[in-house]
Amino acid sequence: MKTKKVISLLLALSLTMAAITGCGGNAGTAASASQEPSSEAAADISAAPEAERETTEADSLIGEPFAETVNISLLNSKPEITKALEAGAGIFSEKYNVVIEVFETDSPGDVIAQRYASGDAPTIAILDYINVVDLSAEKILDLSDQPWCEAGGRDLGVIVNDKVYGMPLTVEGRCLLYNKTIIEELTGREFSTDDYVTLDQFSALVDELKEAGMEHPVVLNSEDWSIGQHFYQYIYMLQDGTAAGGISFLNDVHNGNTTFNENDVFNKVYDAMDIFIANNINQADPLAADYDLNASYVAEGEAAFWLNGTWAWPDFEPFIVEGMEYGTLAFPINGAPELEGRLAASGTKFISIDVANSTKEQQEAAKLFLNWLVFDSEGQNVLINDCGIVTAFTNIVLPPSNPFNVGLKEYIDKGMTVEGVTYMPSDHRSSLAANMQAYLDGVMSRAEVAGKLDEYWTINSPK
Amino acid sequence: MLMKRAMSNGRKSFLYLTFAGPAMLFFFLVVIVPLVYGVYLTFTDWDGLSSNINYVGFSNYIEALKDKAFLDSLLLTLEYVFLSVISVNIIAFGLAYLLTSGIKGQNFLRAGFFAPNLIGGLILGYIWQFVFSRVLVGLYDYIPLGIFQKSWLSSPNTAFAALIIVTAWQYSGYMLIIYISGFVGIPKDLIEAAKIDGANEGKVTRHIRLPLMVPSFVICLFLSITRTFKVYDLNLSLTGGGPYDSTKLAAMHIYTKAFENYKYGTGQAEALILFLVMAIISLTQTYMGKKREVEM
Repeated sequence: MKTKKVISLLLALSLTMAAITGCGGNAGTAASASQEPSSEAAADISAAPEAERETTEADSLIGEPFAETVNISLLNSKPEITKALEAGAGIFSEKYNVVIEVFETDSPGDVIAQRYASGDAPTIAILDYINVVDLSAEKILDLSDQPWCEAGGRDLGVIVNDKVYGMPLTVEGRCLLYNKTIIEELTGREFSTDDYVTLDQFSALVDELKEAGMEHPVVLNSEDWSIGQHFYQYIYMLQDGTAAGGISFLNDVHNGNTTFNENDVFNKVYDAMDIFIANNINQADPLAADYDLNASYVAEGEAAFWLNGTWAWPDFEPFIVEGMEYGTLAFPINGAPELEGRLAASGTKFISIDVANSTKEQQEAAKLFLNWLVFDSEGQNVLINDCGIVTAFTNIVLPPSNPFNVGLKEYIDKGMTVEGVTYMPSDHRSSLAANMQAYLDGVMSRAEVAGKLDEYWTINSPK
Repeated sequence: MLMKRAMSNGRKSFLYLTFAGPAMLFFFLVVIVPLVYGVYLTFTDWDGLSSNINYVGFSNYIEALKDKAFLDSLLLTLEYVFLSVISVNIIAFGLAYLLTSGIKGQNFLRAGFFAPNLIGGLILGYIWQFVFSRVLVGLYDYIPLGIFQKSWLSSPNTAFAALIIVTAWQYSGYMLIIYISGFVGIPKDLIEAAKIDGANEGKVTRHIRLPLMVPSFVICLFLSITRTFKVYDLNLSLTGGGPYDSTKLAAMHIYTKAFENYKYGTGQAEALILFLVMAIISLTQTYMGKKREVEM
């Protein structure tokens, strides 16, 4: 019948259209997206020639807009800043005719290996220190000639064989995030981080809070990168506060000269962890902890301390209560007067530019973006205010944008920091995180965790 | 007068190529070529990143067989396959039996049971993670039963059970469709003849339905075995291998070995071993099933 034929023809047609739009969708939108910036850029250049053509010093450092649209991709391993990066990329693309596709992951090591294996590496990659070191041999650009190296890039970037391969994106602190207002309310006096630098002092405060009605003053995460990676770093960082000290300890373990169980710092760090666990708001089911719920506990004052780090502000912000103050507290440790009250602050994420799978033009565009972030006022705004980071670059004078960063900067300015950990092999997390989670759940003992750490570091050495 | 022209070999080949060619080409490019390349990689020490590739003979295979974690994950996967396949097929068969007995709205029900299969494994995992961690735990306030007290995903045994439950939920619908077509394909006159001869429902099922359904069993067992052996997306989104790596199945272990530990050669060797185990089991099952097929 005619109606049947018509209907089946329409159905077939709509299915085909769906298939075509689905497959060609990406290409379509990318093409249309690139059309707009180029026409806008053309309009800008012709419409306001005087304003644009005025070459400031910053402009000459950054570079010139591209005549033809260049498409590059950016792998972001800091999910908190993806939205800010996308917005920044939008501003940048309008001015310089470069379209940046941003995608995120929270596990950069394996994703970047995967991408290189499939010949589809992102032009720009935001990675951990060890990832940049692993890639430096053949896959990424030597950035030693870039203008930001002198402004702090060389001091805190990834250096391999005296060449700069990774631009430092952030300086972050690993610490206890706290809710100042609720602590002061419950204790009835002012709270200062200087008063709580030892574990005994901290523990006494926790008891005080409990007596005042706060059932569980501490919040612990369950994520493997948090409890299973960052926590281990306290053991290494607090050996003597320097990277060399941490490396020397790990070499001793590697050579069989000492074990984790015998190590004083290991036991002190775990003493602190035991206090945290005993007062954990997620006590009933520590591994089912939800990151956002955890943020809300401290933001709203149900708990006082969150073992995490200064990167958490974007996830924390949705829950903050108007009028409450928040800050950062160094990891409490007994019997180490030279390390007390020192925040674990270090360069964390690093940016590399691919050389193996990208064209020369794409590499230039990537370099331009990095320059723009450091030297252009709008780029700096993206970095400091939108992404909410504390930067390594001395030329950027914008003040820290959130309470956690304010706290971090205070510790840095006072010189009260310990050096971060950049020497863990790339399989540290996947091999050891599970043990820490088992410890959190009460299924593994301290001695067993120490044994596993010994096992790992006997096979591997610090890089 | 009818004139039948025998098709020339050339014309036959042309027809075969046109119809089967594209599919064969894709199969070759997407399955065969990577497999061969993978086998080549198992004899190298590639770390997944560098351009330096050296031959290392069989050392990757030896390392794979000595890797206790891999063997543990393989054993765990076998357990998981065994329990999932049984659950999926029993549920699917039972539902198919009910949904071909002529109850009201059975077409709607068939579609309804099939729907979970349409949701990808990743999203399914996240949905059920929410159910196990938040919904069930929330029920504890109203029904204080032990099983609702903690999230099922926080301890190894219940997390494993969760994996099986979600797998059964996902695949029962798919196998259901196959079993239904098997049931529907049984000639009604055979059943009527048996009933006239005095057979009850149970005897009819045992002696008529089951033997004639063997092809469906073979297909469903094959599909469920191969799919559950290779599971990764559900594993990742539901438990992430946790708690503390206790539900890390073989595919996840291989992924970690190749991409996180940067041991591509060993990871590929482990993948090949997994493939061999899976192939032996499923092909044996198919062979035994084919032998039992009843010709009508």
